[in-house]
Amino acid sequence: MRNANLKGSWAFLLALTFAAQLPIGKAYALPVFARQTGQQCIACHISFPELTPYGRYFKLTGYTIGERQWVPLAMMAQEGITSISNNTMPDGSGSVINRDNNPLFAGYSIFLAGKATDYLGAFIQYTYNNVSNPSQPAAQLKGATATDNTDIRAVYKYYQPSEQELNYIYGFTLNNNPTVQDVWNSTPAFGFPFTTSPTAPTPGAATLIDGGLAQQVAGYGVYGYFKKTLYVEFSLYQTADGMLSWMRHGQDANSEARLQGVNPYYRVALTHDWGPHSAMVGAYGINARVYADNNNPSAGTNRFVDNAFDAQYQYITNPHVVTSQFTYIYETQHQDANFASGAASYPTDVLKTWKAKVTYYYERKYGANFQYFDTAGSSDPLLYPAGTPVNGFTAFGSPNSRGQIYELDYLPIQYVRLMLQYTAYNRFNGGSVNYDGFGRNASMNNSLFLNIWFAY
Amino acid sequence: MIKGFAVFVAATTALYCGFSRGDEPTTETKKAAAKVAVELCSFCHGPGGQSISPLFPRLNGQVEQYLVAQMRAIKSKTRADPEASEFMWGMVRSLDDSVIIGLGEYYAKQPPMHGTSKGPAELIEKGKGLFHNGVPSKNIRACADCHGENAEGQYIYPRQIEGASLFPRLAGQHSAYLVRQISVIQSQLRDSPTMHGIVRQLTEDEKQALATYLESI
Repeated sequence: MRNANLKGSWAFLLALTFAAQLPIGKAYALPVFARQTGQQCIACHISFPELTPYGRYFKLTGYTIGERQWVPLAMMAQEGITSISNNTMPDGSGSVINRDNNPLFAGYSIFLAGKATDYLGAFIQYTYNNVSNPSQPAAQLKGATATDNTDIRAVYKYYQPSEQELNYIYGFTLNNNPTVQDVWNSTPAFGFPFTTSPTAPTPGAATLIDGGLAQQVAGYGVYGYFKKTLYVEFSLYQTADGMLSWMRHGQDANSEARLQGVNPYYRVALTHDWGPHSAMVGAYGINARVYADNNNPSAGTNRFVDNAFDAQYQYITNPHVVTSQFTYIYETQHQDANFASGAASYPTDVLKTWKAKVTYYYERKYGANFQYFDTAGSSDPLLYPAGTPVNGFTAFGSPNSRGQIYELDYLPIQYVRLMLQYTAYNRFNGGSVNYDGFGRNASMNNSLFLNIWFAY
Repeated sequence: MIKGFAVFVAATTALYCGFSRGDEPTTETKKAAAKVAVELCSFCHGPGGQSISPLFPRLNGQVEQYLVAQMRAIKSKTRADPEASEFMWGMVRSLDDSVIIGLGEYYAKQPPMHGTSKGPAELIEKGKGLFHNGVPSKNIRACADCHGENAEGQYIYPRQIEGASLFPRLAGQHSAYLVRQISVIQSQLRDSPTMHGIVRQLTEDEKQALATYLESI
């Protein structure tokens, strides 16, 4: 029976794959930015969402290039199949993930995006997540809607009358995820992988800036890009409360990150383009105080100081494209509240993450990606507790995880991506063999994910 | 006799006066064109049209009427090679004809492009031979016959752009861009009946040699 289901599931995906290749005509009716600019997706994207130099310019100028749309809406949806290496709980009591080897509709997003005026534009994403609680039994899976990535910009441009190019772009951003406003794909919000299995197990430790505040905060800042060489930005992040609470709509009030006061974020980048090459080296970081208990502010805060180095290189020709991104994040965790309450073993912990990814595309249609990722830090048995099968940490509380992602992409048309992604772990939540103390090895969490991603 | 003279005068007048470039750019539209060139075009085509990426052609010193004709063709989708539709149609679709003419004038007045890179001497020599002599054995005529001895491009009257003989400047252009354009003309992705007949038999090696030579001058 299971085999029959399995065959049917993969046949379903293959049928979708075939359907996606049916000729539906060369369309200019593309997602909202394409409709606004009259350009096709590849003008701005190597392959969505990775940006080309022109795509970065479009974002830096506040999504204002082109003609304002009367219906500035777009949508996207994803459906996929996940298969993990070992889906049996260590004690044989059930499955590790739900709907293994079965097609699963991941969800869809609606975008309100594009140009409002010559100086004002926005990217606002609202998402229905069909698997908002993947760890629950299959019968209890449920969907939820929430505000997703949001970036609203006001922008100004300046050049001397004698100059023949736009040498000064500066603006204001209001967003809900540190680095979502960034235009390089080496930073977390739009970094690789661009999508992953909604159900496969993932490592339990990550730095705060690496998604820890996503869609939970409100940030406002100023940025400038000078002579196509120097980019600087300074922003302040706070809990998205009051009139900004819509920016975290749908988040769980008990588990979301809540910030004390305003918290500084910085970004600096040096860029250089020559011939078909485009390169960037930069740094970014945040210093944030996060409440230990959302319902009890008197429990105090923990302070996270994240400093990151990143770099990006792109070689763009027709038909060959090679791109690469690298980031290294060093986080110092001042566990002031956690240490006092017994939730952390030490007053200070360190967590470091680095990721390196390389991509090749042929004719912007056939792509291959490889990423190596490594998270390591100081062991803390209270912060990274053992005792839970699959998602627990090693007995000595190590946050270390390491692995690779291999991904093949095929875009039969520019707003459909068929993706085959394999994630392999050498280390998971602190160990390689029996990391959770229940007999599970890191490699048992390896996953194969076949996904189809539509945008319109 | 008088009637015949009147017809001659009318025809001549029409030829030299009636076939204007279209809406002549005013000071205002020239300013608008310069603004578009700086704020929009320059990001891909570079300051003054001196692009650095071989994906985007250099425009500085290009034949004005050729630029105007290409923008009009892209806008009306009569030029529909992939890059024209993927990148450029959106850029020109909302431009007034007077701004298009202003852009043609803006880029034509920039110091002309010249070679910025040198390829292998052997390849350049081969390309030079092809450019000036063609390939007689394949009935491929010399490029220089139309594009000029120095590949500077030319525009042959009548004065109207549509239907006129327009030969773009090729000197100093990105070699990768030139190879790509010859290829899309060969495969008729870019409609150019005259050029298709001339380049259709060029081999990959010949295209590369020609483009390398042209980028070097």
